Amino acid sequence: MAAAGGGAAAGRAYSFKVVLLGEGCVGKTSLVLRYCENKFNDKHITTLQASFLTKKLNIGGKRVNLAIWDTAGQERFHALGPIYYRDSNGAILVYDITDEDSFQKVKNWVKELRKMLGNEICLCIVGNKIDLEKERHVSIQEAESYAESVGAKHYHTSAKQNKGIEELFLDLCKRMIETAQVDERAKGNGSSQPGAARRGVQIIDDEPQAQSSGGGCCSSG
Amino acid sequence: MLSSPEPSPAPHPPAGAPASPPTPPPQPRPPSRGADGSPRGSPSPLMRKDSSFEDLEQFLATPERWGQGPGRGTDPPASGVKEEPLLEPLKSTVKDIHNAVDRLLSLTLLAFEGLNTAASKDRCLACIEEPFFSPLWPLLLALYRSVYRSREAALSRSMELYSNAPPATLGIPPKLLPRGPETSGAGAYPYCAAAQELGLLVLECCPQKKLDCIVRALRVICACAESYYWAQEPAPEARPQPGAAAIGADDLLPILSFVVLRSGLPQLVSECAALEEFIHEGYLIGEGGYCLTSLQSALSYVELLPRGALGK
Repeated sequence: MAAAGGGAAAGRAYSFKVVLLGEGCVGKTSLVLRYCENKFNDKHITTLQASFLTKKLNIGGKRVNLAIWDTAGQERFHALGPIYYRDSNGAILVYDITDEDSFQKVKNWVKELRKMLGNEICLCIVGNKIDLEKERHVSIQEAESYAESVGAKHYHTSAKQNKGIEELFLDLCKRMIETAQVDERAKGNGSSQPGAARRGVQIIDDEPQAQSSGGGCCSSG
Repeated sequence: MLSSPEPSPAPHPPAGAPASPPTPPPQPRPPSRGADGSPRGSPSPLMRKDSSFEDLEQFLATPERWGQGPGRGTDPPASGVKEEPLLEPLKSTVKDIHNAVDRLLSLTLLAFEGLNTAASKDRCLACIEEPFFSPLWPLLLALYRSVYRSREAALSRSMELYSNAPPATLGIPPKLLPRGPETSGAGAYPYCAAAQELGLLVLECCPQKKLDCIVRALRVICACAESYYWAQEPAPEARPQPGAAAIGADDLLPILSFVVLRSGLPQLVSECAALEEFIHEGYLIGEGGYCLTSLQSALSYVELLPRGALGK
């Protein structure tokens, strides 16, 4: 497996799962649609529309496949959260800056996520609708200091004006890569057994693994 | 094709089958033994223990072990009877199946070194999966169904109680419903195409194909929602944004719950539980995984719908 360490940057792609949480009217859907529509072309939109979206990125030579899982924000579906966010690498918690209540909901989710997934998951708290600054009901300072206190990062976005969204996702991906690398090192170059426990990060080898017995030189057809 | 694990597709009962002790199960050849036939002297240590599927047959063939508890036909008590007697056999069967598939895959890779890439492995697994699971699934599902029977009973009760509930009961907004006379005949109801698609799931015997059915059902939901939405828009040229009709989970889950209710298939609980176990984990992060998770959420939600809210 040692050889894989060297070629890691070239031959691998990180596969990350990100869940999207937020109350009904905070603009989650517009946020991801913006993100996935904007760049290059809109082929990123799957036929599941805004519920499940994927995006491929290249960050400093590292390839990342992002799978964005939307969740239902209604209270009646609250209990179903855990089956969506298990094995997530990141979570984006969206609130509406004009709606104090939606910020409270975010706090509840943060508690829940930390309880269920520990510190492995990268949290982003997102104040959306900054185009409605005049009607702001959640103070910037309060939100930012809260985010810091729970080890999350805070972002300001406007899906309407397409502000802050690209940065949000880029930053999140960088943090997830870091976490994955720390994780890898901790496992000591962990050779992933097939069928080993389901963990979040999946690193997909694009190249033949060196471990195949014998005849390494010209094995590939 | 590759490893020819040759369990001939033995005649098997339709997948929607037994909630009660099955008729003597068909005799699928233990697939791990089938791998035997693979070329160039496969190492013998791999062949040690392959009696596991006979165990499965044994469990399914002894009815005394089945009816334990409140007897079939009556609703099991909502709580109580925590220890599911077949849970342990299920766990060990699951483990055996994983091992057997891993072994088949290893043998294939041993025989064909060139296949040892991520993409080829996926393809190998796909090839192994169909002949492997086809004879096995009805048996496996029967086991799952007996373990999950109280959940199925709850779901089935909800399906009865809410069989005529209008879509709005589940929180589907009017903009995502057809405009026309909603109470037109008994035949058509909103999103009925999705329920039909979901119904095809129980006819398949291979996990990946079942998952494909789920994905198609969800896609149909999205397509229906979009068409209902645009049908209500006054002027097509006044479209606000291209993504305006794109639904997110806030809408998807209520609609899917409605579709589950109308599907009338309580065994979806067991099918999904089995799929979650046997769909290759690489797929669970993608679209298929999302769809499976959503369906499981909808099932749980429907299962727990309040009783008596609508009366009988």
